[in-house]
This record gives sequence, structure tokens and C-alpha cells, in this order.
Amino acid sequence: MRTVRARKWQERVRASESDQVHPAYRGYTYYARRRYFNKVSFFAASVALSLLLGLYARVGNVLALALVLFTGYLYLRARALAEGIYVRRKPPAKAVQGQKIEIGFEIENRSAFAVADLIFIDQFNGALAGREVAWVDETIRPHSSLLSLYSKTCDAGMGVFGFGELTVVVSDPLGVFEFLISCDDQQSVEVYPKLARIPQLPMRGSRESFHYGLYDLPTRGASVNFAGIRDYSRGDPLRFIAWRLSVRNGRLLVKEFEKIANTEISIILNMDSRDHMGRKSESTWEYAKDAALALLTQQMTNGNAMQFFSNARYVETGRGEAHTNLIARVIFNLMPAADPNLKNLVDRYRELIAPASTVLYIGPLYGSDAEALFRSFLMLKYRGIDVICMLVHPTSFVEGKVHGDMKIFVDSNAWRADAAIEKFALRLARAGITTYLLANHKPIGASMLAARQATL
Amino acid sequence: MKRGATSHRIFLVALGASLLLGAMVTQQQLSLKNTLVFVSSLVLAFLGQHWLFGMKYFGESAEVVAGAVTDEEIYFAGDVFVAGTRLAHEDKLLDEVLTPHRQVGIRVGFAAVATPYLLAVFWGHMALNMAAGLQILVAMLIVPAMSLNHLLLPVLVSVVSVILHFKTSGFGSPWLPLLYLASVSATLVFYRYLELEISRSSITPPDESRLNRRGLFAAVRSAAVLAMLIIVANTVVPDTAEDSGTLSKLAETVNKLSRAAAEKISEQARLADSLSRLSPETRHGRMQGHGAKRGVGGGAGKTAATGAASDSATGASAAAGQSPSVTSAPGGKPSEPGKMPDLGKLSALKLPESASLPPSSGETPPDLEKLPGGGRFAENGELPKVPGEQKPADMSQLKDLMKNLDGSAGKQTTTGNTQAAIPPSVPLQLSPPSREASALELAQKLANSPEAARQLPIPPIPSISTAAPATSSPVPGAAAGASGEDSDAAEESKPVDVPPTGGDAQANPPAPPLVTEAALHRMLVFGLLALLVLFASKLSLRAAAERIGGKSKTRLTREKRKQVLSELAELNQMRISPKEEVIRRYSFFLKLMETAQFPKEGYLPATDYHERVRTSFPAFARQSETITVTFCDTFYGEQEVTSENLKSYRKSIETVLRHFGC
Repeated sequence: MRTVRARKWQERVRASESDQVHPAYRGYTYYARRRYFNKVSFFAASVALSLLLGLYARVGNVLALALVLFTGYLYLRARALAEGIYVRRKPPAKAVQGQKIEIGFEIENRSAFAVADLIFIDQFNGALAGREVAWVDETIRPHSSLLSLYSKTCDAGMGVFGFGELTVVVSDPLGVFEFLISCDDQQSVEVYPKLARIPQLPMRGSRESFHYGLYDLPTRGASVNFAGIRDYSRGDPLRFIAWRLSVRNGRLLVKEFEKIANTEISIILNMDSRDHMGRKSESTWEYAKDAALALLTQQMTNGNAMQFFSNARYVETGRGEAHTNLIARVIFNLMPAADPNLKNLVDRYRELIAPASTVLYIGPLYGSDAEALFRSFLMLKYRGIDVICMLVHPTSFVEGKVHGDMKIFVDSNAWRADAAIEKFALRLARAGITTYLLANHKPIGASMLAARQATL
Repeated sequence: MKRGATSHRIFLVALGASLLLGAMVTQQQLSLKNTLVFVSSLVLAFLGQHWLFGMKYFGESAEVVAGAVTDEEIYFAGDVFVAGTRLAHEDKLLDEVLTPHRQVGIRVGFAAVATPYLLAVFWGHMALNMAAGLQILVAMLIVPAMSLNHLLLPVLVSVVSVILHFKTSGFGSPWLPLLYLASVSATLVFYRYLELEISRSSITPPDESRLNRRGLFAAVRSAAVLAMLIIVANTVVPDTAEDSGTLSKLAETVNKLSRAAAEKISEQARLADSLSRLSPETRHGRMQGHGAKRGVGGGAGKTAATGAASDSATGASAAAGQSPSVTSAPGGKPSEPGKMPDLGKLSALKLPESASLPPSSGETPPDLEKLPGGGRFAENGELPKVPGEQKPADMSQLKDLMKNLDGSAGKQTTTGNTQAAIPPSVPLQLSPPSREASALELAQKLANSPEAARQLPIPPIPSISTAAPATSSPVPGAAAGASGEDSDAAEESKPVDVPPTGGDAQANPPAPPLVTEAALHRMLVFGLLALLVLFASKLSLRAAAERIGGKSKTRLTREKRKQVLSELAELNQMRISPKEEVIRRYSFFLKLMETAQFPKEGYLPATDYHERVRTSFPAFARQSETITVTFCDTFYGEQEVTSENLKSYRKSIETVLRHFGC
């Protein structure tokens, strides 16, 4: 819907309102209230002074009348322009994370006046610096339109991102009166994740698996690697009978081969809001989702079977590209949410995790019970399930980003959380659980390599 | 290059120019010394401000313009906090500005700015006056200007000083104030440009020359409009006394009203008294009910018009009753009953010597104080003893006239086809009716009572009126005393005495001016009205979306246009075969459409794309068809391109280019 309104006085001076100025500076009116010196004040003061002068001399009345008429002219012209300005946005439908997209816009001037020096303001939520303020210095003639575009990088993570209100600020040539033309059309860009490359994780094949894979198992299998000879037992396939050796030894002997199998991976992604922090792409949830998708793609290529658990979603075991896409779609749409279940994710889904499989735990740790999680990991380990833990350092996503009254609170909590997560990672490593600590501003792959080197 | 550097430079030039011009305008006598003092103060002020703050704080004005620094929300373990970026920014700015060295610097700057002026005063080169003091204040206000907003304050003080100067010296020569107006407008325009440049996201510097050109044009236009409005206001605001303001006018008006009221009341009393003495048989009730009949008091008034402002109708008719020879019009033609007498003719009417009316201005001329028969009003307003022989004639005529005109006691008099309903009593009027109203009233009454009209004495016309408009007053004083707006018209309508038979004057009459002031005034009014109508019509004029989307032109941005044109230039320079040219130009056409946010999908055939173009851009549907058909014939059909086809193909692409403003 399109709305046209004049910019209010409060909006012009909003930053110097008493509740926003630090108490220490309230005495310095000249600086703290500097936005009161604007063009509206300028004209109002000129008219007022002229009127005052008009009490004593005719010239004051003349100037006051002229200024009032001039102000009226400026106002009416700016308003007529504002009512005749229409704006449309033309964004692309799809993009990939990190891609630079061009968002077109068209400004129509349906009024009878030519317009120039418009301010075009848009907000694309798919970019970290999503606010676009453009000075349209082209003159748009009466009854014509202007096509233009601006660029934004889709660096705010994956997902479907909308736009904020599209606003065009129209003013008179002197900038006294400003009219805001807003348009809140619902448009969006679907930003697909850009998959990060990560090093291979130290995994073992599952002895329970019947599917071919990358991992050599110390159990019998059907690979080409010869493992040994044993006596024939009933039910062995005839094609494995070593005929020459059987003739030589006078009894039936069969050849044995090594087993090469894949493994079954359970990806557990913690999306409990108590553990997450940050904003847009610089957030724990985006980092965790990126890590999960990177792992998902890698393990699909490895031929492993995967199942996915999160606080509110579960995807059962499967293999292949279609299954991976299904899980990717689920991950794509996940956002942190309050979890009413007090059990941690590992305890909650333990029964669904196959023996001799691998569990990949991804997520931050801040508000959850770390001790309970540690016990759950140990329990999995006792059941012969391998656990790989990718912890996302939560406070690295908010440090230095909060100002004002909440800064002390955030900083003190961050300090506490830093110590806690590092201690937790150390405990996991001592318990034989492979752990990666991922932090902000570091690529996932680089963080994992660094962690591996540290372990070595 | 720092952001906003281009606009900042232009803005500073405009600001400096406006402040300097302001200083020059306010000086009674421009001298080199004064100018040097003000220039040095301004230069010192700008240098001090730059040394203290530079333009690094100007970034904060972006918040004012478009909210570039915004508070973002940050998610923290299930809670959402406001990041408080803007507050931090604000605190940082204020912290920086309040550091001791800056505060000391500001004070030093004040001292430095005021020093040249103080030295000039000390050595006796300049006088200590308010105008100069204000100009120094202007310079001093520049020093602590931390943000762009602060720089508006010196401009405002400069404007105030100029306005005050106008009070004392008037507008004077128009050129310097006009130039000052333009410079202030330019300051405001470039202030806006600086705000815009700071606030926008991209950091590409704008084209300085273009900015200058456009800004100056906008400033000059605004200044012209304001100057025109000042001229109009100067014409509209009454200028009876140049130096009188609203207060003095108000006081004058109140005084005049109270004086007029007091005099009127006393005159009423005097006239009532004189009437009662003149006609003892006249009933008191009538006199009280018809206060307006006080004009009967004759006297030695020269003309009816001097007294026409108060109750001229009755007075005139009453006086007219004195004349025994009654004619309806100056030409001696009797007026038809019930018909309005010709006002032009009425203007030539003159009352008899003995009839007069009290003056309208509240001040009775000495000759009007004379009573008929040579008597005068006493100091206390009482009438002197009137000679008895005059009484019966006067009073009988008066009574007759009153009866005729008023149709005594509300009696309806039907004369011919005109009906006149006159109320039984007319309330006493404290304020005198206007002269035109009086004349009209007189005319109406005469029309209602043709008898009275016939009784009016029509003396021989002693003078010839060169321009005798229908509404001209009987005497020169009436027309000249009309409202100020019509003063010129009244001037024209003044009866001009025929000059004595002087051969020279008749042979060589004075040549009329080519353009009179009145004509200029009318032209100004008409011009303004035309402009107003034009502006009003443009205010409400809107175009439909279809018109803009279809027939009207759509422009690309400057950068895109440059890009497209450079590609076209490259294409034009190539020496290629016609077939190759058609293919390359089609590719260029597709690029152009992509720039215009109408890209062709890879899977779409050329003809289908043309269908889309046709519906979305009907303005060049025909050209799009030519381009597509030629391309398909050449590329797919492998046909040879004739020179005619190539020509129309090129022309079609040029049309499309023109549509996008290239």
C-alpha cells in the first residue's frame, strides 16, 4: 500500500530528544539539541521576526507576508510532487548466499512538476548492511519515469528474505518541507546457502551397515580385499569356495574378504533459543546451519546414510541426493525457538540413533545444561556410538556489538560463557569425543583444521 | 576523497558568499575597511571551525536526513536487545566535542574573530553599532559549529540583521538584496545537497559542475519567486506611512475611531438641537428615529461631496429641496418615474450654496460651521439664533423632501414599477458610510422617489470632465477620497477644469505617458494571477499510470546511459558486414532492455520476447517488431540484409534508445 505523509517535526529532531541524550550533556543545549536548528526553524524564526518587526515598521509586515506566501508555495509544490510520485521495486527471485544482486527500482512522476534530488530508501533484509539510501540526482520530468538499480550482497545468511518499507523522500528545492512516500509491497528474495568446504571428519564405518561405503571394516564383507581362508560352513555362497585349496586340503574351504561399508550419521542441530546469539549472518544459528549443510553435503558424497534431528524437526534415515535435499530444505527453514522440553536433544532422540553409527552434534552452548549434555555424550559412547561435537562459540557473535545500558550485562555474561564453553570442550576432548570449537569471523573449514592441529 | 567533500566545498562557498553579502547589505556606506574587517572575521571563523571540527562530524547529519545510523536489534539467548548504535554514536560525538582542548579552542576562536572589529573600533576606523555587532556575531557563531545544523544559525542571524537593516533604510537599491536573497537560497540548496551526499549509501562523488549548475538554478529560481512575492507584498500591504508598523497603525486607527465617534455624537447632538430650534413643529420622535437627517443643517458648504460621507443622500436631497427649479438630469431631461437616474449625470450635480452636509473625516471645516444666514455654531454646539424669515421656507422644503424620500413612518411608496420599502426608523450610524455607498444610496433614493429627483437643482455645468465614468463622484474630493486601490482610477476620473482660452495650451497639449503606473500595476496583478492559475492547475494535474508506462518516456540513470552509449559507439566504429551488424545490434538491443530491467530469458524465442516487449512498451512496439523480424530473417533465415532494411533497423534501435533517454 502506498502512503504519502509529511515528515514531522519530531522526526527531524528525534535524536536529540531528552530521553536519548546522555544526562551528562543535557546542559549543553547548543550541542545536544543541535537538530532543532533546521530549515523549518529557520523559516519559522524568519517569519516570527518579520512579524515582530511588523509591529514597528511596515517592512516587517511585507517580509512576513512574502515569507508566508513563499513557504506556502514551497509546501504546495512539494506536496503536489509527493502525491504524484510512485515507486516500484524489481528484485530478483533467487540468489545464492554471498552473491551480489541488483535490485531495480522505478520512480514514476505523475505530477506536472519536474522532480530532482529524491532520496530513495530501501531495506533488504538479506544483507547485513541492508539499508540503501540513494540520492537520485536525475531530473524526472513530468509524466515520465526513471529506471535505476542498486546492488546488495546477500550476506545475511540463507533463507527467504523480505524487504522493508520502500520510501522516497521528496522535498522542495530548499529542503524545508519533506514528504515521505512509502510503499510496503510484499516482495522477497530466496537466498540459497553457499556450501562451505570442510575437511573430512574422522569417522568409522558402521559394522551394522549393509551399504557400500568408504570405510574398511575389520569384519567380513564383500570387498575385493582378501582377508583369509576358513572352513566352509553351511549357507556360504558357492562362489567364495576356494576350489584349489579345498582339493589340496581335502575339505571345503572358503575365501574371506574385508568389509567396506558406509556409516549411518545422525545430525543433531541444536536450535534452542537459550543457546543462540547474534544478528542475521553474524549469528550462532546461521553458523550452525552452515556447518550442518556443509557436513550434510560432504557425507552425501561419502555415501553415508543420514538422519536429522532438531528441536522441532526430525528427518528419518535415508541416502542419496533427494534425501539430502530434503534435509537441506528443513535446515534452510530452521530458526531458533524456545524449546519447552527440558531434556537435551541427545537424550530425547537416543532411542532413534542406531548402534555403531556416528552422531554429529552441532550447536552453541550457553543456556542449556552442559553437564547433562556431557553425560548424554558419554552414554552414547558406551553404546558404541561415535560422537563428533561441533560447538559454536556463542558470545563471539555479540561481543562489541551491544552499546548503551545492556553493554555491561552482555559483556559480563560473555566473559562467563567464554570460560564455560572452553572448559566444556576440554572435558569432551578428554573423554575421547572429537570436538571442534567454531567461532565468529572464522570459516568453518579453517576452524576445524585449527582444532585438528591443536588435537594433534 | 572524503564523503561529501564535493558538496561541502560548494556549500561553504555559498555560505561564505551569503554571509559576506549580508554584511555588505547591512552597511550604510560600503567601505574597504569595513569589508576587510568582515571578511577577515569570516575567514578566521571558518578556519577556526575547520581546525576544531573539520567536516568529520558532518556524518551525523546523515541521521537527520535518512537515518543512516540505525539501531539494530540483536538476539541474545532468547532475548532481543537494541544494539544502541545510534546512542553510542551520539555519545561519541558529544564526548569528542566536549573535550577540554576543543572547548578552549572555541573560546580562542571567539576572541580571534572579534579581534579585527574591536581593533578597528579601538583605532577609530569603525563605529560601534548594532549592524556591525550582528555581523561579528554571525562570524562568531561559525566557530563552534559542530554539525551542519549549527551552520544554519549564522545564516539566520545574518538574515535578521538584513531585515533590521530594511527597517531603518528600506529596501533601497534592489540589486544587492536580490543577490543576497539568491545567495541565501543557494546556501540552503547546497546545504541540502551536502545532506544528501552524506546520507547516501554509495560513496561515488557527484559531478561537481552539474551539482553547481543545478543548485544555482534552483537557488535563483527560489530567490526569484521570493523576490516577486516581496514585490507583491510590498504592493498589497498598505503604505500610508512608510515607517508605521502594525502597532502605530493600530493606535492610529483606534484614535481615529474614537475621535470620529466622539465628534459624531457631538454633531448628532448639535444637529438635533439645531433642527429642533429650526422647526419647533418637528416632532422629537422623528428626529430621534431619523438621526440620519442631520445633514439638513445647511451652511455655506461649497459642495455636497464634502459632506457626502455622512448621510449624503438625505442631506443632498434635503438641500436639493431648497431649489425651486427642479430637473431630473443635468441635461434638463426629466427622469422617468421609477428609473434609476444616470450616475454619471449625478456626478455633475451640485447642491445649492445653502445646503451642506457634515464632514466625514470628523473634522469640520471652518466654512461648514457656518449656519445658513451667516450664523455659526457656538462653542458648546448650540445653534445661534436663526433669522425667523428663513425658517418657514427651509423647514417646509425639508419636511417635503423627507416625506418624499423616506415615505414617512415606513409607508410604502409605489412609483411606477418600482417598490421602495423604507423602514420606519433608521438607526443612528456611528461610522460614516463610504462615499461610493453614499452616492449609491442617494441614487437609490432618487430612483425610489422621482419626485425628489425632479426637485433636485441641476445647475449649469461649470466644468468639463475629460473622463466621466458612470460612478464618478459629484465633486473631485469624493473621487479622490475613494479607497487607495482606486486612487489611480479616481485620478483619471477627476473632472479637469477647462483651461482658460489659452492658445498655447490648446495647440500643444501635454503628451500622455506611454505606460502609466496604474497600467504597470494592472499588468503585475494580471501576471501574478496568470502565474497563480498556472501553478494551481499544475498542482492538481496528474497522469495516469498507463500514460507513463506506455507512451511516456522512461529514462535510465546517467551511469547506465553512459554505459549504453559507449557500447553503441564501439559498435558504430566496427567495420563489419551488414549481417554481422544486425546480429550485434540485436545483442545490443537485448542488453539495453536488460539495463531497462526487462531482460530476455535464455529460453525465450526472439518472437515471444517481442510479444512481451510489445505489451510492456507499446511506445516502441513497431520498432521492436522491425528489430525482431530483421534479426530472425538474418540470423535464422540466413537472408541477405538490404540497405533499406538495415537503415530501418538502425533507426528502430535509435528510437528505442531515445525512449530510454539515451
